[in-house]
Parts: sequence; C-alpha cells; structure tokens
Amino acid sequence: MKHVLIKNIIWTISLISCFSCKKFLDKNPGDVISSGNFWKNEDDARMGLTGVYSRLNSVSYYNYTKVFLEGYSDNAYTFLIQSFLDMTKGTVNATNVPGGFFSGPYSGIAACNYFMANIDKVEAAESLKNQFKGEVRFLRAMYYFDLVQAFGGVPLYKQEPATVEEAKIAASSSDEVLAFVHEDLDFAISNLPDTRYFGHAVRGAAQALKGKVLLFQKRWPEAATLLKQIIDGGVFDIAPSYSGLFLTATQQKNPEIMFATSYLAPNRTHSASGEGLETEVGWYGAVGVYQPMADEYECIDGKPITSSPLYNPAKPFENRDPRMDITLKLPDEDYVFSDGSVFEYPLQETPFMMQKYLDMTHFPFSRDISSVKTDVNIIHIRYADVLLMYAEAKNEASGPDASVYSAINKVRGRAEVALPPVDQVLYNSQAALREYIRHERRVEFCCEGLRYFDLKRWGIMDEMLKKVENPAPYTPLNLAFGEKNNVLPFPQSEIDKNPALQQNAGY
Amino acid sequence: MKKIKLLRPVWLLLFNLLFSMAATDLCAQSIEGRVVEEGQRPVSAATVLNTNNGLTTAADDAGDFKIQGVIGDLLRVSAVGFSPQTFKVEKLTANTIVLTSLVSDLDNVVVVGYGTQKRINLTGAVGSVSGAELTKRPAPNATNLLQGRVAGLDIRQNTGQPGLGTTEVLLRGQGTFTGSSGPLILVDGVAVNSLNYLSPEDIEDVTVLKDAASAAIYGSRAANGVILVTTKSGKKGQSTFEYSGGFGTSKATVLPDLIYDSPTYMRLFNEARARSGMGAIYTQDQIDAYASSTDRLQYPNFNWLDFAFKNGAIINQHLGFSGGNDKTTFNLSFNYLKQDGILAKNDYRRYNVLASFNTQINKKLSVGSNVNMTFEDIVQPWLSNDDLILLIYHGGPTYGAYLPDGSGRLATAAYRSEVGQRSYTAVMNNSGQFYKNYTVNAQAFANLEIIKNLNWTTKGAVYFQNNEYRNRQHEVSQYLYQPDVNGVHEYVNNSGTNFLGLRQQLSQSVTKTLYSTLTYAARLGEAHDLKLLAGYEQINNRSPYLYGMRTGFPNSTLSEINAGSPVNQVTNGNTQEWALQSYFGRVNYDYKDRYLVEGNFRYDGSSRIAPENRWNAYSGVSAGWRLSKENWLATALPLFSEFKLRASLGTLGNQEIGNNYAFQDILSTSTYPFDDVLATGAVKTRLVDPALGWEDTKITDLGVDINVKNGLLTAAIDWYNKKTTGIITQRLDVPASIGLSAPISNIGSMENKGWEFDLGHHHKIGAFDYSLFFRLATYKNKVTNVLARAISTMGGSAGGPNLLTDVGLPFQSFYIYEWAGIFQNQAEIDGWAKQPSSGTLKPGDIKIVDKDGDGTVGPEDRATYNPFPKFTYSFGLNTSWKGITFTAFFQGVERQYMFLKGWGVDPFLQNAPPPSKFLNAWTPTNPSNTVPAVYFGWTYPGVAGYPSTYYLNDLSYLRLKNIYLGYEIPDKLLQKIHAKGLTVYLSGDNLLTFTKFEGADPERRTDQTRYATFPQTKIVTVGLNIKF
Repeated sequence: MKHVLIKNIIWTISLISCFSCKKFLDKNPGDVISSGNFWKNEDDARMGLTGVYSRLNSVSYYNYTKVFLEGYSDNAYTFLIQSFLDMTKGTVNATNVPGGFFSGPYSGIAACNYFMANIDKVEAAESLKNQFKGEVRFLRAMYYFDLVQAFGGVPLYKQEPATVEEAKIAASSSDEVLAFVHEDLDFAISNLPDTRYFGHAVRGAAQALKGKVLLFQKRWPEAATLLKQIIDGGVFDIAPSYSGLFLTATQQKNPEIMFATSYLAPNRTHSASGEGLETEVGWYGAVGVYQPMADEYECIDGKPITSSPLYNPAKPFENRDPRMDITLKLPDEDYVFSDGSVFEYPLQETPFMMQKYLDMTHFPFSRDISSVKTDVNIIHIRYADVLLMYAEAKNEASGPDASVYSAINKVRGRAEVALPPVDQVLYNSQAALREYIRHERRVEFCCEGLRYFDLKRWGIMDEMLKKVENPAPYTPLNLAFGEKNNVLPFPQSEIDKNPALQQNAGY
Repeated sequence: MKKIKLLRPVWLLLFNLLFSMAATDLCAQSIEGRVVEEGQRPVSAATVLNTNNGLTTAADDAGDFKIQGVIGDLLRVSAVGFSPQTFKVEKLTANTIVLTSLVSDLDNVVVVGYGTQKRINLTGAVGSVSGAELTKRPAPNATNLLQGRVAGLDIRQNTGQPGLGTTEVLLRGQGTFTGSSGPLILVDGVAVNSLNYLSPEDIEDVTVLKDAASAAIYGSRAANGVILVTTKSGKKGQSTFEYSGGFGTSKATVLPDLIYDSPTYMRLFNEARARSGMGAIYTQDQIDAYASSTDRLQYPNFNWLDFAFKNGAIINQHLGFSGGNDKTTFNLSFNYLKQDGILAKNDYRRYNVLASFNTQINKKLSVGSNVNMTFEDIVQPWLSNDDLILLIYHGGPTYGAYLPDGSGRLATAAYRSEVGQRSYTAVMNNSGQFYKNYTVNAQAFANLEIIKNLNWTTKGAVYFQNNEYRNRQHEVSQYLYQPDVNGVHEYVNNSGTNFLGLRQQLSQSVTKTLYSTLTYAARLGEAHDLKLLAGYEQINNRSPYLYGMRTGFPNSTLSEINAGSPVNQVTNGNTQEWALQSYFGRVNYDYKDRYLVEGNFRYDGSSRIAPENRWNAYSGVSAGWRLSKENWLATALPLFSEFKLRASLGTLGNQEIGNNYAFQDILSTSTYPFDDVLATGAVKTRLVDPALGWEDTKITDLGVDINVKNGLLTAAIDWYNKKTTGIITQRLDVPASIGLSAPISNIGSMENKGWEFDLGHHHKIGAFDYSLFFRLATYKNKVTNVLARAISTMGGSAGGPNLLTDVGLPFQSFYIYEWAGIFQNQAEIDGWAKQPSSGTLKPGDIKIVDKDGDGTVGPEDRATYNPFPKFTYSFGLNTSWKGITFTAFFQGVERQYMFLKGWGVDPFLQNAPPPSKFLNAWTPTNPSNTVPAVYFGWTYPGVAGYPSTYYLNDLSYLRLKNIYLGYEIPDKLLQKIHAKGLTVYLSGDNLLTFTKFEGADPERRTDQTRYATFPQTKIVTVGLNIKF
C-alpha cells in the first residue's frame, strides 16, 4: 500500500514537472516582432523601411506639430508649444529649451541607423536595397540637417552605437555633420527614382533638401545649379490650387508636394489619443497669427498695403492676396455651428488665427469628430520652396536675372493666387530682391513651420521679433531673439547624461 | 485619552457591584453556579472539582452545575480548550465562573506560507488580525480595513470614491524604485491582485509576513512582504444560520472653505487678473448687480460644495450557513453591498458568494473546495474621482447649476467672460462610465496522509477576472446663466466632452495556480520537534483585452457599439502573459519548545527574466529563544508568561517589475501610408538589457516578544534593515541622442531601516474586560546607490515640485525652494536676491531664499524634504461588560509632507474660488506675511515661479478611525425565537480628525500634487447580527 502510494506521488510529481519543461516560462508578446528572426527577406526589408518612415508620424517636429514651429518666429503665437515665450523673449536656456528639437530628430536617426545596420542581411535585389537605403539616408540627412539648424554641431552617429556608453560622445562640428548629410544625400540622389512623390522619398526631394543645405551653407552657386536641375527636370510643378495643397483629397498625386509626412484615416490619423492638427489648431486655437504677418500680404495689385491704392483700412481684408484668407481666420470671419451660434476660441491672444491645413467641412473640430478624420499630410518640401530657394541662391550668387524673376512669378502666378509678376523696376538690385524673396517666402509658407529656420539662416531673427506688435485688446509681447550664435542650448538633461557633450557657447 | 481616565470611577463602581452581589448564606450544603466563557456563553461539560472535599461534578449543556460545599471552598473548574481556573466560593447560588479560552493571542495558530504555525513558535516578524476585528469598521473595502492593524503595514486610502480600489499599501517602506512596492497578497494560498473583491465578512483572519525569513517561501514575489488572507470555512459542531445587516450613511470627512460670496469673488478675480496684467473679467456694473441684488436666484452666491456633496447610503447584507460534522464541514455565505457615493452617480454594488466545502473521504484522504465569486457594479461620471472633484472646486459662485429661468438647462458661466471649463453638472448630466467586474477565485484541494506524520497536499486554483468597461458620452448643451439684453441665455457649447460615442473594453485575466506540498512532522525523542515541508508550484497568467470605439450614435440613450456608426471606428486588442515556476521548502526545528529554528527556501523561475538569468534561489533563516522556558528566568522573573528573542535574515526578490517582456529584443509594429495604402512596419524604439537579472532584497530582523502575567502587558518589538539591490528600473543616464527609450536594467539600491512596536494591555475586573493596544512603526528610507542622480517632476498640476533621487537621500525627496514670506514693498524686492523665474516682482509676491547667497535664486538653492512619514501609529481600546462591547480605534500619521496646489489652493485657476484665507491676503494696507496678494492661476510667476515650501504642507493627522458599541442580547431573551445569538451595534468611521492641515482631508494619495481630491468619508452604521 505504502509503495503504491509513493509510486503514485512520484508519478504525479513527474507529471507536474512535465510542465516544467522550458516552454512553460517562455512567454512572447504577440503584438510585436522579435528582432531575432527578422531581416530575412524582401518583406522584412519593406517592413523595416515602413518602420523608419513611421517615426515621422510620432516625433516632433515631423508630425503635425511642425506647424507649431511657427510660434518660435515672428509669425505666430503658439501657446500649446513648449517654452514658446522663452524662445521668443530671449530667455531660452538649457532647462527650458524645447526638447523636441533634440529628441525628435535623434529618434528618427536611431531608426535609420538600425535599418542601415541590418538591411544587408536581407536577401533581395541589390538595386532594391540601394533604393531603400537611399530613402533611409535621405531621412537621416533631413534629421541631421535639422539638428544642425537648431544646435550647430551635434553628436554624430554614422552607425548605431553598440552600447549606451559608446553613445556618450562629444558633438562633431556642424561642418562635419553637414559633410555626412551631403554624403547621405548624394547617395540618395544617385539611388532614388526620378519620379513624382508618392509617399516614398524620390530623387527630387533629395535634390531639394541638398539645395536647402547648400543654401544654409551659403554655397550659392552650387545651390542654384542643383535647384535649377530640379526645375529643368520638369517632374514637379506648381499646383494651380494653393488651398488644395493643404487638404487631404487634393494632396494625392499633387505635382507640387515633394516630401511630406503622410497620414491616412482612420488608422493613421494625426493622433491616436484623440487630438491632432484640426483639434489643436481649429478648436483650441493653438496657433494665433500676429498683425505684422497679416500685413505682409499684398493687395491683389501686387503692391504692399502701405502703397496699394486698393487697400482700405476700413475694410482691410478686401482686395488682398488670396493666400491670406486661405491661411488665416480673419477677424471678420465667423465659424458658425449648425444651430447658427458662432464658435469662439477658448483663448485668443492675437487678431488672426491659423486656418491653413484645416478642412472646414470637418467643422466643428471637437476631439471626437476631427481626431478620427484628420489625416492631412504635413508638407516638408514643395516645389514652390524649390523655386524660391533657387531665386534666393541665384540672386545671392549673381544678382537678379530673368530666371530669378521667373521663379518668383511662377509661385505668385498660380491660378488660385494670380498675383501680378514681380515689379522688376522696384526690385532691380540684389539687395532689394533679397528682401522681396524673403517677403515672398514668408507669405507663401506662413504657418508651415519654415519661418523659424529661415530667420535664423538669414540672421534676422532678433530684428524681426522686435517688429512684432500685438494690438489691443491683446497683450503686448515685447519679443526678442535670445539664441546665442543662432544656436539653441543643448537640454540640461542631455548634458547631465552625456558628460562628453559640451554646452554651446553662451549658455 | 481623557475619556479613558473618566472611565476609572465607573470601573470601581462595577467592581463594588460585583462583590456586593455576594449575598451571604453560610448554612447551605450545596453550591450552585454556571460556567461561562467570555461573552457569557455557557461552557458545557466543564469539570468542577471542590478542592476542599474532593468531590467532582460536570456542568450540563447550559453550563449549570451543583456541587456540595460551603462558602469559602475553593472550586477548580476545567474544560477542554480553556485554562483551568480556581474560584473561591463567596455565595451558594448564582455563582458565575468565567473561563478564559486557551486560544489567547500568544497561543493561537497563525497561517504562514503553505501551512500554519503556533504563534508561540514563530521566529519571524509576523503580524495578524482576525476578521472579527476588521468587520467592526463599516468601511466596505477589505484592504482599507487593515489600516492600523499591523505595525509596519501602512495603508493609505487614495480616494473616497466607492468601488475604486486604489489604496497605497506599503510594508516596511518603499522597497524599490519604479516596480511595485506593494506586498504579495494571497487568498487561501493563491495570489490575487487585490483584496477588494472580497467581502470583509468572509475573512477569517489575515497574516502579514514582514521579515525575509518568513516571506522567503514566496521567493521572487515577497520583497515587499506577504499578506495571507484566509476565508471562513465551516467548523465541526452545530450548524448555524447567520444573518447580519448594516445600515449606514456616509458623508465627506472635511471640505475646504472657499470664497462663495459672489461680489467678493468677483472683486478678487478682477484684482488677481490685473496683477497678471490682464483685463477685468467683470464690469463694475456686474459686480454691483450681485452686491446689491436681493434676488439670490438671479444673482446667487452659489456654493458648489454644498450643491454637490450629499450623504451616501451604505447597506450591507450578509447571509451565512455553516457547520459540519466529524467528516464534513461547509460554509456558504452571501453578501450584498450597496454603497452610494457622497456625490451623485458614484455608486458601487458588490455581490459575493463564498462556498467552501471540506470532507474526509477516509482516514487518509480529505478533499475540499473553496469558491469565491464576486460581481462588482460600478457607475461613475465620465470624469471621475479627483477629476470630478476639481470640477466642483472650479465652479464659481456667480452662477447656479441650472438656468434661473426654470427651463432645466445647464449653466456653465454667468457671463461670456467667464466661459472656460465645463461645469460639474454638465459632466453629471452626461452618460458616464460603467464597470461590470466579475472575479472568481475557485480552488480545489486534496490532502493525503501517506504514512503517519507525512502529508501530501495538492491545490489547484483558477483566479479569473472578467471586466467590462463602457464609457459613453453625448452632447450636453451649456448656456450662460445671465441672459443677454433680449433675455436670451446664450448657448455656449456642448460641454466639451472628449468624444461623443462609446468606448468599450472587455478584459480578462486568468491566473492558474497549481501547487503540491509534502509535509512531515515528527517528535524525535522527548525534546526534538521537527517539521519539514517541500513543494512545487507553477503559476501562469494570461490577460487579453479587446477595445472598440464608435461615434455617430443616433441619439444619446443608445449605448451598444452596434448602434454607432462603423465609419471611423477604432479597435484595439492585445494579450499579456507571464509565468512563474518554483520549488520551495521549509524546515522547523525546536528543542524543548525553547530553542526554535526555521529555514525557508524557494527556487523561482520567471518568464519576465531572460532564460540565462531566469532561475534564482531565495532563502531565509530565523531563530527564536524562549527565555521564559528557561528555568532560571521562570524562577527569577515568574511574571513573564512569555519572553522570546527572535532574529532572522533572508533574501527576497521582486518580479513585479511592471513589464512582462523587458528583456526581449523586440521591434514595435507601426504603420505608415504610401500612396493611400497603409503599410505595416517594424521599428526599433527601445534599448534592451539582455543581462536583466533579479532584484534582490535582504532583510535582517531582530525582535522580542514579551507577555507579562498572561496579557497584563504584551509587547512585540522589531528592528529591521531592508536592503534592496539591483533594483529593476529604466536607466536614467541614457542620452536622448541614442534616439531609443532607455533599457530596463538592474540599477541602484536602497535601504529601509525601521522599528515596530506593538504593545498591549489586557485586564479583567470581574465581568469587565478591557484591553488597550498601541502600535507604532517608523522607518528611514535611503537610496544607497544610483547610476546617476535623477531629478523628475511630480505630476498632477502645473509647477509641480522636483523630486530628487540621489545617494544618501530618501527616494524621490522633494527638491524645492524655500519661501520666506512676502515682499512688502519695492525696496524689499530691490534688496532681495534676484528671482528670475518670478517674472517682474511686485509687492505681495513671495520671497524665495537664496541659499547659496550668490544674489540670484537658481536651481542650486533647492533643498530636500523627506516624502516619507516620520512614523505611523494606531491605538485603541476594547472593552466588554455583560454583553456590551465598546471599542475605539485611532490611527495617525506623523509628519507627512505633501506638495499641494491647483484648484482650492491657487486662486481662480479655471475660475476656482480661492480658499477663504485670501480674504486676509496681502494688500498695501494689509501687510500680511503669510498670504500673498491674490493672484491668478497656478503659473502666476510671483508665487508659482519657483516650486517652493509655500505649497508644502505637513499632513500629520490623528483620526478616530472607528468607534463601535455593540450589545449582545442575553440568551434568555433569545430562547423564545430560538436564536443562538443576537448582537446589535452602532459603528462610526472617521468621526473625529485632529490635524493642522487646512481645508481638505489630510488622508490622501501621496503620488501627486493635486489638492482637489475625492474626500474620505465619515460613516455611521447601525446593524445587527443574529445566529440560529
């Protein structure tokens, strides 16, 4: 009896112990991919590539928050964005500097470097792999270039750092980083298809970005030559509709858009958590536009409001550049609810509010309605930028010529805008035309997040911020440029974590 | 304490009464009396021996006896289960002999890991409390009832919202950084997430394993201690049917004092805005209208606190059937709890069934089952708990909840200039959140006696949770309270719900536990007792969820997903899994009940750790020396009934690291559209530490247990040192330039050193029985190693304090500036250090101390403040006299710093009325040095520019947690209704609070900065318990 019992026990325990085979403790998450058995075939490569692109949706300022960059310039008041008054009142320091300038691009770079470290493990046609690499290197160049625009020299990782300790390195000089940016862009230009933009990066986008880098480096002739290649290539064109550039339906196959962060409702909207550009801009009123920006819009005769006979101070919004009403919610413009009541922003600190990118058919832009629909793509490069960059580069290199006026006129002359050509008499000198090109960029790209970097590039941030007026009843602002040497301080937390990183001079 | 002193004359009176009852009749030949136990219940079959004549007799079932003798004889009365007693006969009839149950505090058996242990033989630090003691309090949440009952177990109820089981439980201090610091909780040997599903009525007792040696048998889950809960089972003997019911009412303990006088509020609001350079919110005409009007409907001084808070009913009904015979015992219990919140639409219903059954199949084999089922039904508004409270706090007095025109439409502001936030009533008139939670803890077990003293026990259990959650919101129109010139109340908005539709989530968690133990107990020779235990256990958990969201419902009443529009619907779902596999054992040895040694061991493998490091061993050893069993002490100091020294040492682990897959090198999936087609991608977003290993907690414990004269004075005193190393948390030194989230690694160490005192006094004066207890626990938390000094910011409000984690300091110490009063004039500002973060300083703003004297207040001027309490304590009194029971229970916390701001502190934040102390705020003519000039919002730089001690409060409190008065109706009166016992009682919770903290409740969550939190409740309950 005893023996039988003990036998039974041993049998039972060994039965139980059967569960104790290794499997019992092996639990794997079902919604993610284990890196161990990835990077085998072309499908893996495509997924990896998609993963790299998907960082665009999730990091600042490549997703819809790009438009908030406007708040760091003389164009707009953006209470939703971190430290915007510190950035525009000269009190930016290592503690309050918006971390997104640093962490955003580096999140993208990490994804790129991870892709580059693994793509060669994949069995696929070399040409395809090179195209993929070209796309990833285009993105990496964009991220590094933005870091340089924000901070100057930054830590440069040409490959994935193997350990946390290896990542703690000093900043390379901005020249070194930009040299790497050019390396990446040259590879991308050689390996990307020379087609219109279709979600993937294309050759024109890489050329345009390289042009922008050359502009930043004030390498005018090279920039002009390269940008001219895009213009002569004829792949891209100015879209007849200005407003259509910023609406989902007309963004597809748009000949003007060269690179953008893409969205697609309902599963890839601006924000999974229920907000996005339309809610934040259209409902909370996150971007308020200053009076001087609005004053920059010409009258339809192509003359500034200070000299145009068409300008009537009593009816200031009549006979104005059509881009004004498309970009801004004007003080006399009402958003009306279906019951006839008029929408008011909870907080309005400026006379004008941003309207660009808002699809007014989605109004009211409350969270439930807008968040699930907002999938407008956020444009990084469009052909108008190429034309105006060309005009700038060529004017800086050799002064005004017909190709310069023609480039500007092409932007002003699109069907929906239809402004008269540049007054070649008034803007006949390099200096005068420089001002006019800057004016045209400001108007054309208002609320697209380009102005902050443009002002820094031109070295006129302080001058322009001081011109910002905020008429009563709005609070006066007294803005002033506070960045030392045109660069931001590294976040203090980054200095703390990476002792090799030296703070930028002046901070 | 005063009350107890007052009672003294009463005792003397009672004393005299008892003895004066001894009427004298010296000539009788027989002595009559009754043997009863405490509480006057008769003791049947007691043996009565007259030591003067040697005669014996047995008492009958009613405890009555008759024996020959005379006055002055000594009777010795004994009964099984009671300590024998000698009784001097002073009268011949109506003698009452009270026997004390042998199961005294030091003698009973306590539940320990996978078994039981006689309390006298415990060598670790183990606390326990009986279910009967817990249920004297009418509070319905079992976890909260443990507060103050075990020294070292700190329970902090986070909210007074019914059904919200958020209670902070810390045993012997914070044990780790970001992982769980809560103890492992087991119900009948099976780990559960929380005790809240249990009905307190079903709890037999609770044991707390505090030291590492006792807890080591639970290895990798025991670093923060172990709470063992045993549910009630049937007892051999008579079957009983029991009903108990409690009927109570609850209300907020304390509410803040805010300015609800409209003209004052409006004037101060304008002043505050002017101070920030903002325009007036009210015109003088508007203020005058409120000041001069007698029409309080049109121009109210609306007090939102009065409007919102009400009394909430609490009803608890319990039916129990239990009993058993020699072979089989059973217990069947039904519970219903209805708890209405102190705010409308905050309701909790709980239905419990407990069915336990145990039978002896034959001499060798017994089997049983224990099934506990709970259904919880919770209703709350779509903004709930603290978020709901802040809505009440930010309501201004200038408008009522509903428009004055009687249309029933909701008001959100008096004037357009006030419009900002949604109103409390808008949220309450929306649909809301609905939880239906089902919990089943079903267990089956078998016990086989293989040979004498060798037992094999196996238990299988399924702990199943099924939760259904719905969040339904629709439009709720809000209007302006004051009509425009045409008498129209302007429509404002749809109250800004965050979405209009239904979110629904179904989630499940199934934990399967199987364990099997062999125990051997033997006495070797006369003096050596040996107990051995060996076991195997495996646990696995699977937790899937499915989430869906739709909008576009045709009306506001439909509340099923199908009724919504499929356009733009959202679905999500995932499954989490973990598993644990373990071998464990225990050895107990004692020599002559005098020298005690215990060793516990566990070898755990966890799915949460990489295979290379997955398995880890934990062990603990403890020893006890019962000095009172030594003849020399027993002779020298016979007053010691018990004198035991204890020492223990052991290592434990913590597998609650907050991530099931931390070590795995995985890619996140994501999507990106190309050309209008959404593609799926894989991207690396985090760093992984493949070497992630176990966190290690070592506890040294020294203790002494003393019992003087059988309970006249008892003391259990423990000192411990708990050291945690290799703490599993996210690395904080990873630069953002890596572009990936930091890995979870073994970083840092900390220690908690502390003392625990548990003192008692039990005495009996005739029928009057009383006991006093006092418990105190104190510890010092100190970080002993970190990878890098880490500064974070506490959430809950704008301008929250920094928290500093650094070597030598308590974990996440407050790291804030010191304020030094108020600037009285410009000269003072000019003479003070520069305060660049305070904006342009004005008289009436606050001064911040420039500690390093460099002329500017900056980060280096911050100082640290301990976030942990100095000590926690509880004390109380239990008395009983002739069926009347009275108990009082106090609990307190000493020196608990909290940084509190926001609604109720910072004036006019989202229109919030300021606390009334701002009636005495600084003005040029009222040079206050304590209340700054009335300011606007929580970011006003002159006050909030530096997170300072201005916002730091000491939330020390002493609270009369419970007072209980019960009366057991005498048996004689019950015989007619054939009842075995009937108790009626009155019980009150949180009736008195002593604190210096102003305004709201000092007992609150410690993990955020929000002043506006859901208050605790005062509860008064009447009830009865009847047994048949």
